[in-house]
Amino acid sequence: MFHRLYVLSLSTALATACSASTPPSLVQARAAYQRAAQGPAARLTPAQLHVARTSLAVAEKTYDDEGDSDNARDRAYVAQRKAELAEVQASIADAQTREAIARRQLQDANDQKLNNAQAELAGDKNVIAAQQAQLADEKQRRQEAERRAAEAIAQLTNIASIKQESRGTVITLSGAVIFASGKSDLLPSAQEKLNQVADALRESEAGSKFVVEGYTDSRGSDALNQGLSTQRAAAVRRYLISRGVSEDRITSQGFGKSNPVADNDTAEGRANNRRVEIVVQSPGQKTTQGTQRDQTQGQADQRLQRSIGQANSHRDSEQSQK
Amino acid sequence: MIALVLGAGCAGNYPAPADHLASAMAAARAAREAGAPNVPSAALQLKLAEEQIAQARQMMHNGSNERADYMTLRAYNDAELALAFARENTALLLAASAQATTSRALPSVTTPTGASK
Repeated sequence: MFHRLYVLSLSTALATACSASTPPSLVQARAAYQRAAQGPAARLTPAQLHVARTSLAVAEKTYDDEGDSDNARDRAYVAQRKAELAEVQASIADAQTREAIARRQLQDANDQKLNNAQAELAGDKNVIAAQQAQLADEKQRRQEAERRAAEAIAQLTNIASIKQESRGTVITLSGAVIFASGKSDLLPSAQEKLNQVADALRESEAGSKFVVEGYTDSRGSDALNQGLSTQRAAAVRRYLISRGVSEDRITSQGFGKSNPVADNDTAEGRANNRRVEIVVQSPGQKTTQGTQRDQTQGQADQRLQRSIGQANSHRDSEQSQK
Repeated sequence: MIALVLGAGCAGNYPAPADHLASAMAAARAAREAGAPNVPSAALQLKLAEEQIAQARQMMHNGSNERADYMTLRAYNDAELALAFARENTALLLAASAQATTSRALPSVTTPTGASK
């Protein structure tokens, strides 16, 4: 601005001092046009520059025709303004271009951020969907395994008593049908029943543990009963292993006359106390009696219990009819 | 745009340049409304335009219609330049603002600088 101010003042001063030579207004108009033509106006505002060139040509011709007349000075004045106008308009165009570029860069960056966020979100959704599918699949497999295990054990109700206790599912076999009196050798007739037990144990839930527990009635010495119960439990364990039950999953223990389930004063009660119990402990279940199992297993056991209950009631109904 | 009818007729019966005067006044008013008084370079051009409009009025009053016509032409071009300066100022401010916003949001991006005159 100050440059233009200076130039304007100078041209006015020269116009009065040097009237005999080329008028300063025309000199100034030529310079203004030269500056505009060599600057961005040639590229950005060529139409306005053309107007300036035409205007300067008119001023030049007027000066040629009339010399340093008022008309010539006025036209030179106008030509100078036209050239300056071309420059300013080029500056406006340039500023508008820079503004547009900056806004587009910002918009592009925002679009890119949005795209990235959307892609990330889509990826997260896929991961979640895959995890949900996997969970659903695992849940279904687990439910299926539980169902098969429950069914396998429930089928044993024809040959044994099945109870659901806090220590696990308890399969109780009467000692009278498995062993001869005072012996720990398996009766031939016991093998068929134990075969079914072995089949059920193999079908049971992966990771389940089995404990074979031997019990006697109260007759005889404790030492004799303890030894007999231990040997009988071990005999059943060996047989079940021979039928394909994994050796690592099954243990045996004798409890003698302890934990009677019936009155030892009657023959029937003593017969019930002479027994072998096979405790099925699901994965995660504590091995000690009476401990709490986790909630999931509890729910599975409830289903198992319902299944067993239905089978027992069916059996009782059949027996009562007989 | 002013149509040039300069040079037509002799000094004695040169018509009063009422239309050209009106055009120059309209251009000056447009420059003023665009904020020219607040932009130093534009303010100077506007001041010249308004002074020349006043001179043209005086010349018309004195019967110098032809000189008055040229004076309106000067005034019109000064007013037009004043308007351009005012618009340039606005465009430069908008560009600087947009570039600053972009630079803050995207420090790694280099925004173009202004074209040299």
